[in-house]
Amino acid sequence: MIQAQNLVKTFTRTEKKKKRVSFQAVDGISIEARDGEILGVLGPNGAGKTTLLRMLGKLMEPTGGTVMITDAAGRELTQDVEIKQHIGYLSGNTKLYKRFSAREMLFLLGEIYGMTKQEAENRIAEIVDILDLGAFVDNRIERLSTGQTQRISIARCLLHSPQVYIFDEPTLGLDIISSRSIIDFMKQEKENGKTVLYSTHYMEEAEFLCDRIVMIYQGRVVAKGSPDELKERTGTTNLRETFLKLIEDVTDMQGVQL
Amino acid sequence: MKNSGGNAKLTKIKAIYKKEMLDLLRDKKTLIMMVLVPLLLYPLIMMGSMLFSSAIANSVQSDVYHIAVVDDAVGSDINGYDGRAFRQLLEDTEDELEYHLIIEDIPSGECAEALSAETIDAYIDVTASYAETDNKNVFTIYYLSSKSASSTAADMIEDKLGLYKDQTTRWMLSTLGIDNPDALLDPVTVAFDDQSANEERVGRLLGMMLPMLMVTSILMGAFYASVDATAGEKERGTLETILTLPIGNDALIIGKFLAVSTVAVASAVLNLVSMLLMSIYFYAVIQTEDAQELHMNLMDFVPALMIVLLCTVAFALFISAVTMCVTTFARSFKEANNYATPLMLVVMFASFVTFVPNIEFTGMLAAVPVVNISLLISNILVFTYDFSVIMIVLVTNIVYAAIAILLLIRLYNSEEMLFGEGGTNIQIFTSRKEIKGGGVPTMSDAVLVVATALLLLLYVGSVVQAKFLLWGLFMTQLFIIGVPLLAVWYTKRDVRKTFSLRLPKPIWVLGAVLSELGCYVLVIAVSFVLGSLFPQDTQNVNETMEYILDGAGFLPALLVIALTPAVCEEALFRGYFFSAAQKRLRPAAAILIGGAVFGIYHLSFVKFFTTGILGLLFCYVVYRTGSILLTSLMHFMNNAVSVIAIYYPEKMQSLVPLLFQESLRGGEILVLMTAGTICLAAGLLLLRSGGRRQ
Repeated sequence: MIQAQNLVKTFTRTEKKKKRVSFQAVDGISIEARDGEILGVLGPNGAGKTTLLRMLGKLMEPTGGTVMITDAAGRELTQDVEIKQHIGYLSGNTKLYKRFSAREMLFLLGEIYGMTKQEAENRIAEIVDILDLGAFVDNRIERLSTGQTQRISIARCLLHSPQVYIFDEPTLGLDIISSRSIIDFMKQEKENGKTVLYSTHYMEEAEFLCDRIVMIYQGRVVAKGSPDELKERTGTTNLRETFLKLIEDVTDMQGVQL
Repeated sequence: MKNSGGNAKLTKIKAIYKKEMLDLLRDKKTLIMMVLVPLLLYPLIMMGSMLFSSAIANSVQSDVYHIAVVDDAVGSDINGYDGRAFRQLLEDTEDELEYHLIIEDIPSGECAEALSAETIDAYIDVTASYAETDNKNVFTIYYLSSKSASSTAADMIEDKLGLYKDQTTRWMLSTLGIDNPDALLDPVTVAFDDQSANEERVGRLLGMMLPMLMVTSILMGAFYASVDATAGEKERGTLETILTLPIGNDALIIGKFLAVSTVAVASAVLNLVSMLLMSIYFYAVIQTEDAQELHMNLMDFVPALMIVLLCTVAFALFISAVTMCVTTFARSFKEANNYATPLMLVVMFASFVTFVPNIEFTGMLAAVPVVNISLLISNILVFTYDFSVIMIVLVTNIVYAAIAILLLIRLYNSEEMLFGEGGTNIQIFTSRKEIKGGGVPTMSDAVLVVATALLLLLYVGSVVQAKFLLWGLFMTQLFIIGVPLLAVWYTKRDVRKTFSLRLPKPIWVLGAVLSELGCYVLVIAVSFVLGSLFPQDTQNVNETMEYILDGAGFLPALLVIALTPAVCEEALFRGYFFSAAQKRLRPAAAILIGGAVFGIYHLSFVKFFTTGILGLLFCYVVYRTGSILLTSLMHFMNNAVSVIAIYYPEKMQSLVPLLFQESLRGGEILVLMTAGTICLAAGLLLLRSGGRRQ
């Protein structure tokens, strides 16, 4: 389980005429994702999804608020390094070390995750079995196809058996087959009782995959609930329309305020 | 997952180190930089210089020089002159020299023509009248200094004339009836016995060249590794991956740093090995050619090499940390290469210190990065050991490396650095058409402009100042203002904003004058303290001043020493540089750096502090008021008072006795400091009172 209380992230941007403008990329978001659940984080570009997920994954220090993870043994962890130890993080920006073979890379990462040599070797053998990497696990990553690379990325997330997965648009730009391997993986891990946080722009994907959805706009949560609840609340028939309706409502309200 | 605590951290550092090393070793670029460059560099340089020197030697040795003698009109007034014997002496080849002189039979009237037509290399005229030349024989050698063959021929004639002089003197003494001419001629014999070993002589030569080569080579090795480990990680998109790992920034940086410094150290060792192999080969060649000349025992070099190795490793650590700090700013290899140029310039420039003749390697210099390692290597090559200095070099390099790593860890915590757009680009390298212009310069441009001005100052400035003294100083000032003006024109900046051209409020003028007076007094107190701590440096500063002035009049001195810097230096430091720094940095940082740069620009240890204080004040005034006119006025006042004190010392002494004395007691210094501070504070208050600038 992962819980975040009142997360805030302030960026300062230097605009033209040397004005330094600060703005809230994430403006007080509280979020909770339980074990055995896939939580979808949806929102238009620039809504603050990536910043939120980076803070949850401790890649980025929040300006305010806290993040806590409850591991499989029920311990509540708040330290950066402890949290990272229990998170598998995958995004379009988490590329692999191309000059290594998958096995070499996984082995080195295993050491950083605190495994002994023997533990790392055993775990890699297991993963090679689960994800069927045998044919190319010893080739240099730069020589692999996109689909193969994607599977190695999944192997990287799986390596340390994390309790929580954070996937930031993991299927962006992938073909159906590669996307499916990731989607299947998420479903599988949900079955295993893990927590999955997942952001995407593909509404159909989110609709059938997510147990609950958090809709974010302008750094704030505008709606929360299961896909069905959200559809019902907005009186729409599919998630795409729900999304548009929710955004529209917020802009309308702002119009009134002005 | 059994490890815990510090042990776990160590394991993680080791894992990062392994990862980085493997990553680096699989990159061909790093390997080439690390292995190939040092292995090829020295052989190429050595062979090149050997070819060059042997070519020169060959051309000199094979030559025969043609000369002529003008002695037709010689009468009896030249004592004992015998044309035939004289010619024989000239043509004599008794010494083992392979070249010799051949006397051509040319009528005396045509000698000058033959020389200019180069049919002869030189000729000697012995016909000067005895009476006209104060009862001395004057032999004139005619030659062309522009032709090396002619110069050599003239030198050889001079050597032979030495012999002739000796013979003639002996003959004359014997005609005067002196039995033992030798005792009279050489009552005192001066003998030189060069006690320096052959190793030292060779070492002195190597000591000039090697430090710079090695420093540059280590820098290159470290640079490519560090780009790969920092900017490379961003460019390949693995930075976010590594940030997902359960490892603190400190451990991450230390792991990376260790990998980069391993490459740098390996590069250093390879450099040394390559150099050593080449030297062994070089000496072997010399020894087979001429066994008598050099009795080199290579084993004698071993202790020196061990010390060099140790210090070089410390230096490699330092340079690795510095390059990592620099390359962390870059998002890509391309951008990192932009940063390489200024870094390379600074480091190479510092390593040039070994070419400065008679430079003394003191504790002070031993604390200056790059300079210290260069001087250490060059000193050790002539077997000068001073263990306290070596310790300073070692310790300072390690301390600097530690400071740089701490800075690096902070940089890695900054998200702007990791996820931001980054990219402070150097506009000067962009085509002028593409520059939109406006505003003030970028910080990178400002650093480059100051660096260029500094290089001009060092290389051109020092020459013109030595040649034209006061007017050389004036020319140097023109460079100082020329560089930022050119840069402003090229990058189409807003001239008024860049140079802070703004009329001050009247109350600010008063504040500026007061604070400048206070600062002047304070600086005098400080320089007295520094003078007692570093008497040698202080004396050098004063002597340089007297040398430059060289009896120039008061008004020219006032113009060059007070007025021009008030315009030119202000334009560069408080204008171009400070406006860029102010935009990029927080005010306190901008002022601090502005002051430090101004201090460094004066290129003297003692002056660094005194001018640094001035620089701080000037930057603050521009920050406060936005007007460079105020600091120009202050700068002029400051320098003018010094000029007046040099030209009218008595008047100044009677006017303000405490300020212009040879020495001061501790109590008096305290009085000065207090007075200066009060005056300065009053001035600063006035500067604040006029309201904040817009």
